[in-house]
Amino acid sequence: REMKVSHKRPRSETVGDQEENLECLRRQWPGREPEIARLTALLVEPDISLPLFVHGPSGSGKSGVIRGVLKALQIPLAVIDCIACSTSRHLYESTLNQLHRHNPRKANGYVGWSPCDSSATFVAGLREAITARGSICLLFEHAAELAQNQSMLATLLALPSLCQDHRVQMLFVAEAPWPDFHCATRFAPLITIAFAGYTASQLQEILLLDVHSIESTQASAYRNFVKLFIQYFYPVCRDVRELRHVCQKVFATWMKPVRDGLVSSKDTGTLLRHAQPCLQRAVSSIYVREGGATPAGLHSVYATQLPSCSKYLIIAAHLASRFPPKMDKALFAACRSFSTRKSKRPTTPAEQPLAFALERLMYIYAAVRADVSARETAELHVQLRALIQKKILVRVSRVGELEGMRLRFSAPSGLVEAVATDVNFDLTPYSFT
Amino acid sequence: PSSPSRAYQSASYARKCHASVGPSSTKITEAPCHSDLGSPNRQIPRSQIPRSRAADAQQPAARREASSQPVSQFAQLTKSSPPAYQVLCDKLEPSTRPFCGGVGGARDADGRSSRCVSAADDVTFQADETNVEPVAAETVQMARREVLGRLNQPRAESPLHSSAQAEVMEELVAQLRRTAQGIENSSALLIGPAGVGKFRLLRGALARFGASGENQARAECGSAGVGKTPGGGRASGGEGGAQDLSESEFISVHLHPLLIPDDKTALIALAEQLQVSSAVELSRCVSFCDGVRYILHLLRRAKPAKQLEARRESQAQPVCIVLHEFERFAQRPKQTLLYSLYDLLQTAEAQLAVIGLTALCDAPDLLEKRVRSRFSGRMLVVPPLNSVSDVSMLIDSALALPPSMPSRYASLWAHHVRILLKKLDQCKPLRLRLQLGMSQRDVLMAVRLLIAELGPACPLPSVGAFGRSVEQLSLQSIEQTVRELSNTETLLLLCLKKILDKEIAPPHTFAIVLREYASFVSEYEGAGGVYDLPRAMLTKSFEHLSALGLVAVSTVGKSSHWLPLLEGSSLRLLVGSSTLHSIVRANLRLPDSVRRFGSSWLQ
Repeated sequence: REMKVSHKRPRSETVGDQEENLECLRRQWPGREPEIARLTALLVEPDISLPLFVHGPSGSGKSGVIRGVLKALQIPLAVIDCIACSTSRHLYESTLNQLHRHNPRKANGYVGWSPCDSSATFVAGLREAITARGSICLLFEHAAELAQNQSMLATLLALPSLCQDHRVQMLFVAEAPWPDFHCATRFAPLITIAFAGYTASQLQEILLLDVHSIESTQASAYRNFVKLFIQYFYPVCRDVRELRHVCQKVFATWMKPVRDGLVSSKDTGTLLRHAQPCLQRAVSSIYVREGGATPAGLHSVYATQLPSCSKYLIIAAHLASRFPPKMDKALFAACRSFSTRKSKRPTTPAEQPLAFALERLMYIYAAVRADVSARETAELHVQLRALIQKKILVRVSRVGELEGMRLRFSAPSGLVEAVATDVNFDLTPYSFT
Repeated sequence: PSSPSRAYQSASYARKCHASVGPSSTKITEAPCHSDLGSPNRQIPRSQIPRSRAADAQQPAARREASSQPVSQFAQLTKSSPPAYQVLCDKLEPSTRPFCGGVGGARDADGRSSRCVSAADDVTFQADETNVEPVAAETVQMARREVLGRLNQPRAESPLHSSAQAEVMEELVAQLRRTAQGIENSSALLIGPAGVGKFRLLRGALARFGASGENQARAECGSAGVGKTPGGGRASGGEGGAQDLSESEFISVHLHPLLIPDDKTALIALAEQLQVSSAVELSRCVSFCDGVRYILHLLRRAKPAKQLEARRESQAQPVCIVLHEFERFAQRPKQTLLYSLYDLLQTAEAQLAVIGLTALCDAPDLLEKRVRSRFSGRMLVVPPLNSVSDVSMLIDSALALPPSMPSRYASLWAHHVRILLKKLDQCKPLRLRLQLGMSQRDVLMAVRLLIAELGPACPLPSVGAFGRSVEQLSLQSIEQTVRELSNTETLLLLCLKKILDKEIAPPHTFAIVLREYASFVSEYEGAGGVYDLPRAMLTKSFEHLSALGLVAVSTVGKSSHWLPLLEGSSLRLLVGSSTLHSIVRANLRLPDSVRRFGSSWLQ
């Protein structure tokens, strides 16, 4: 009891700040006042100690609101992205690093707070963090991924009882509840909070927040435009991010006659008449980004965003899928052996991509990446897994088969060309017929 | 006696199961709970009772006294308050007023969860309205902390038992007593739904045998900083109290499968909790069974006891090994841990009880033959809460305030709690939930939610607020999710439903859905209409449906690897026909064309 008291935050000093921060949060997230109030009521007192599962459509402000509330209440927080932390070890170590404010850097040899590969070590680390910081909060984003790892989910849901301390607050954030929710959680105590989709008036309010980025002379025109825009787009699409993006783009197109000096910005009637064809055209451009007018443009944008080892993996996978294994020696061997047998002529690349083994992919990767010593590292496997998740590589062997994993390359050729151009890899020697 | 016949076991099991749902539960409910369960409040010397527990001890007497007085006497307390209350009530938002606005309507502006307000609520409202007066924020905060502090107490100490579990408790105590007296080594399974209070019950049973379980728990929790009452576990209950005190106390060892991945770790945990880890050399242990024998040998040496007649060493204290989530141990290959422990029970070397806690009623079927033959087969079914009176008793003990609270507020609180308990059987969400099965944990979660909502605006608990808390325990209905979809997404769902109803042979792919969508556009809208949308838009909308869990996308066949995610996948609708029908019929925001399309074939 003494320990509990000693770790309480000095509430009387911070109450004013908290209220101010929460008010700021309400202004920042219009339409989310009920959710902010509910989260505040459930999180303000560590003793309430109810694990929360927050769900709602993408772009409904779940993570933003939660982080804002936790920041306003000054609760020690560890944010865990369940896509990035795919293994339990990665998840545990990342959590402990954040809770113990440990930052792996050059000075400490990029070592984590503690190596942690078992749930018992993780629980011990958490208990230490609770002792040091009073109460802690673990925020699991993209929690839908956890449904695929039942043992990890069971451990995370049981954390308060494993730590024997109620001051471990857990928050899971996902778009939808886990499939077969109660079976997946084994009826664990979880309070679900739903972030509903925005209504038309709330969307309008959100879009009007962007009025600050508009020239002051066009502000009133923008307000009128937003009403029309919502009226037109609300039945079709309710994705806030997309609507904000499209709204800015269409507004710029709509105001072109004003910029050209053909129409005055105060001539509301003419502008509104001009709006309808403008908005109709905009529907076809929804979910299409700049640079995406041509597939090649899309690929080049995508290719530049990949890490370098992923780029070389794509090239290696492309080569492995185009040539049969018997060609490897001729194509990728470091030194050519002079055998007395008649050397085989290189066959033409296959029309349909061929399946290939993982070892072969690694061998070709090592061959094409001559600049660095390419070894099979964990990082490489992580990138490989990411490519499989992105459906660039498809696993053709069964999941249960541990030996001889076979893959198939399914990315379009445009992407390979864009990647090869980006890393200055010459594909022409491999495109013979 | 160590291995009763199967027939007895099955009969006992059936009787237990019947007791959990049958009419005998009424009898249990009527029995005075404190005398049955041996509540620690009555047995511990007054000086040792912590503040909040002392309050509990005093509370029943105070309550009896208060209940004997007519309500009019209480009304005198608050006669001067109506003007102040009106001012307070006017300042409140309709949604935060206790029972004020929105009777029979939606709880919030978005109408996401409809509030259950019955005629009983109206009655309560009148009662509440005349009695509530403004309360200082600090007082409400103090009350919140007191109640939450009691709810967060370590489980054996909190006096939150349900009367329905009294019989199970007695049977468990009798079983443990046989081990404590050296008659037999016992093994049993406590079976019950998650959150029903199996662990709490076991801790309570162990606490009857002395302070050992508590000391052990304190040693475990020490680093985490959870405070415990010194000597709080030395309590005995009811009739067998004096007898229990003379018996040896148990050393409890907790093994949790999530923290113990293998047998070696289990040995370390066992040695650690028996406080002989410094002397253990794991390299000497060939197997888990050897290791446990060696550890028990060390325990006998560390705490020597009187020698038995045959000059055998005996344990000074019996050991109770608690296997949490028993089914996870049973699902491990070879079940070495379970086999070793149950095998050890058959020998005279150890004085041991092995109690498993599980939520699976068929957990014993998971055991291998060699393990099952060593397991006694005793299964104690811990029943969930059956009736409103159980819930009422639980809430009563959870919401009791200590006498340190300001007397005026405490009396107001007690009055409101009484009204809450009185009107509890008219709380519709609670009755619905009880029909589905409600555990102690569910009730306590609802109490926590109720406490979380308390504030200066709503300073006292009420039936309506409790009903809303119970509603919050449930998942959001899928109908609500569908209602929030855009018209395009609703249309795509209807298209998929129409394909299913047409009984087109599976796999139902996205291409077929798009074809159906195109036929809708041509029939109801015409080219160039609002819903004549590009494919990218429709694909994105469908992905959104998949992300919200309304449609399941699964890949089929090898050919699907060559295609983007949706193209070669088989689609499965996860929304029921009635839900879609009600959406089409009742959602006035849907345009006419979509409603006509939906109602053209949906029945």
